[in-house]
Amino acid sequence: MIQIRCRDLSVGYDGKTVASGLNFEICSGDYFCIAGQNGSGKTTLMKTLLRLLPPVKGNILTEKSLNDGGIGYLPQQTPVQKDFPASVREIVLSGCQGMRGLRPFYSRIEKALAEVNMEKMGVHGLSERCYRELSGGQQQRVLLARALCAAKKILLLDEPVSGLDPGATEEMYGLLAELNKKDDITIVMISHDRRAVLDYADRVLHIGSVCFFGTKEKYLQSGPGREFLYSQGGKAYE
Amino acid sequence: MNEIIEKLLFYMEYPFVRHALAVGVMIALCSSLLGVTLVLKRFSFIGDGLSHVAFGTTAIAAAANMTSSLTVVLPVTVVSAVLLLRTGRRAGINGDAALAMVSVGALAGGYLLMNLLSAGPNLSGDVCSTLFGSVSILTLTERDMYLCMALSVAAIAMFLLFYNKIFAVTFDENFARALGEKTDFYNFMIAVMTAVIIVLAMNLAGSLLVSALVVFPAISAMRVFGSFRAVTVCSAVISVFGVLCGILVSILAGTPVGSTIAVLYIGIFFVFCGLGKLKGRRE
Amino acid sequence: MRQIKKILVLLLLTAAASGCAEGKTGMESLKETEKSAVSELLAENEGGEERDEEKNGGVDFDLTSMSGDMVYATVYSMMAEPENYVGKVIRMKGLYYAGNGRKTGKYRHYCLIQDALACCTQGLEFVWGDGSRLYPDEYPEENSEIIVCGIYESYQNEGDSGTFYRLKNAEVELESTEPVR
Repeated sequence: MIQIRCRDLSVGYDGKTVASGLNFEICSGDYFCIAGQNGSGKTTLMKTLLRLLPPVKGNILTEKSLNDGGIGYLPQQTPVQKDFPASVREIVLSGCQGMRGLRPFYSRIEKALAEVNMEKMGVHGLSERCYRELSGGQQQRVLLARALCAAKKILLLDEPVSGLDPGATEEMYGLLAELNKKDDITIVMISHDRRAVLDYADRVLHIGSVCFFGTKEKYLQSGPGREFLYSQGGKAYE
Repeated sequence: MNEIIEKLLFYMEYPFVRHALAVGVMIALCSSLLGVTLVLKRFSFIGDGLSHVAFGTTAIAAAANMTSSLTVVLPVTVVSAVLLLRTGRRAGINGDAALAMVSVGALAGGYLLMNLLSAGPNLSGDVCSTLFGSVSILTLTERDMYLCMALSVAAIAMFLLFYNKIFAVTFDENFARALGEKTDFYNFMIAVMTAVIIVLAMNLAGSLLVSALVVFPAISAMRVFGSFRAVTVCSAVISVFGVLCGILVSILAGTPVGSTIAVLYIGIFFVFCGLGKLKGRRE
Repeated sequence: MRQIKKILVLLLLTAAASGCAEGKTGMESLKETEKSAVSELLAENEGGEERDEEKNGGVDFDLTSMSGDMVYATVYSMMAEPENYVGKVIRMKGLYYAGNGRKTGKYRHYCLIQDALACCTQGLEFVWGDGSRLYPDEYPEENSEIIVCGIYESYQNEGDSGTFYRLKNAEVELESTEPVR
C-alpha cells in the first residue's frame, strides 16, 4: 500500500528551489533511504514531507490515516538541545503532544505509552536522568522513543547516526531494523552512511544533479549509486 | 537582630510596603517561569531590548502628559516583542542586529524626546528612576498595583495551562510542528507574555536591570537541576526569595531596589555554581 | 549525588519557607493594620482631635528614623494619597530649599529629600511657625540640612486650580549650617 506519493515535486525554502523533479512512492513496510551530497536538499525534502515547509511545485499525496498524526520524526539535533535541562521522561512524553489537542496535561494512557517506548528503546533505566548528561547514542535513542510516541505507521529520520561511535551506530541500526520488521513501521531515512543503504534499505531515492529512485539493487548499478559507493568507500579507507 | 525585625514590622504597617512585597512576589514568579524558556531559546537579551522599547514609550507618554503610561506602553511593547521574536526565528544574525538596533534606538529616541518635550522639572529623576527602578515598586499607585497583580496572575495561569506545550516548543520546535502543533501560535503567546512581564518587571528593577530578573534565576537553577520541571520550580523559588530579600534589604538599608535584587541574584548564581560543581564531582 | 540532591531540596525548602514566612508577615500585618499604630491614628483622628502624646512626643510619622527608600516612598504616598496624612504631625530631615513663586513674588520653603540613587528629588513645602519669619535673614542657607516637624495640611492657591500640601506651624532644627552640596 502506498503511504506517500510525490509527483514532480520541487522543494526549497525562502523562495529558493533546492531540489526539483522528484517522483517517488513510499510504501508501507518500506525501508526507504534518501541519499545525496550535502546541500542537495535531503533535509528540505523531509521537512516538506512533514509539511513543515510548503512544496515549491508539484504535490504530495499521503494516505488518509497519516494526516491525523501517525508520523514520527527524528530531527537532527539542534544546538539548543545540547545543554537543555530536561529529563528523559519529559522528552519522551512530549512525543504524545499530537494526540492531545488542547488538553493541558498528559493522561495515564499517554504516560503508559511513553513508558513502553522507553522500554523498547532501552532507555527506561535513564528516565529520570538529564538529557544533556547522556551519551550521543543514548540521546538518539531517547529522541527515537519520543518519535515512536507519535508514530504509528511511519518514521522519518534525519541522519540518525551522525556523530555516533561505531557501537552506538550498530545499535541504532539494529533498533530501526527491528521496528521495521516486527512493528511493521515504515522507515524513511536520510543517511550519508553507506552501510545503511547496503545492509538495510529496500529502496533508495538519490537527490543531486542526477536523481534516482528505485530498488537498492538497481541503485547500486546506476550512475549516482556508483558515485555514492565510491565516495563513501574512499572516505572510509582514508 | 531584634531591632531589625522591629523595624521591619514597623515598615510593614505602611500599605505601600505590603503592596510592594505582594506585587514583587507575583512579578518574580512570572518573570522566572518565562525566563527558563527565554534563556533556553537563546532569547536572554530580548528582555533588554523590550525594556528599552518600553522606556522609549514611557518617555513619549510622559511627554504627552498621559496620566497612566501603562495603557500605551503595554501594547507598543507587545507589538515589538512579536516582531522581534519573529525576525529572531527567521535569521539568526539579522535577529541579533535587529534587537540591538531596536534596543538602542528606543533608548536614544526616548531620552531625546523626554529632553525636548518634558514638561516636568525633574527630568533626570524621571529618566534615572525608569532606567534603574530605584523605588518605583514602593511608589505604585493603587490602580497600577491591581493591574500588575491581574496581569501576573494571567501570565502565571497561561504558563501553567500551556506548560507542556511550551516545553515542546522550546525543546524542539520542528518536532512539535511535525506533530501538528500550532507552534506559531505558541511562539506568539510566548512573545506577548514576555512583553507583559518585562513591562511589569520594570517596576521592580528598571529597564536596564530587568534582564536580571529573567536570566539569573533560570541560569542558576540550570546549574544544579537536570529536568525542566525542577529547573522551573527552582528558578521560581530563587526568584521569589531573591525579590523578597531584595526589597526587604533595600528598604532597611535604603539602597536602590533594582540593583539590590540584581546583586543578590549574582550571589545566588555563584552559590548554585558551587552546588553544581559539587554535584558533578559526586557523580 | 542523592545526598546532595536531598540537601539541596532542604535548602530550597527552607528558602521557600522563609519566603513564605515573610509573605505571611505581610499578610498578617495586613490583617493587623486595623490595630497597628498607623491606622490607630487614622481612627483616632476620625474620632476627634484626641491624639495623645504617647510616643515620639506626638509625632505621627517620624521620617528621620526611616531608611532613604522609606522616606522617599512615604513622601510620595503623602502626595499620592494625602487623605491618610492630612492633620498628622510629620517629622522629616532633608535639605533646605527656597523657591520663589514668580507670580506671587512670595518665597516658599521646602525640605528636599532624595531617593537611593540620589537622582529623584521630592520636596515638601513647610511654613515655619506662623510664617512671619523674614527671608533670607532668618532662614538657613540653602542646601543646609534641616529637620522639619509640622502638621500636614492641604491648601488652595488663589487663581490656581490644584490642591497643594505643606507642613504648617513647623518647627525647624538646623542639623548643620554647612551646605551639604
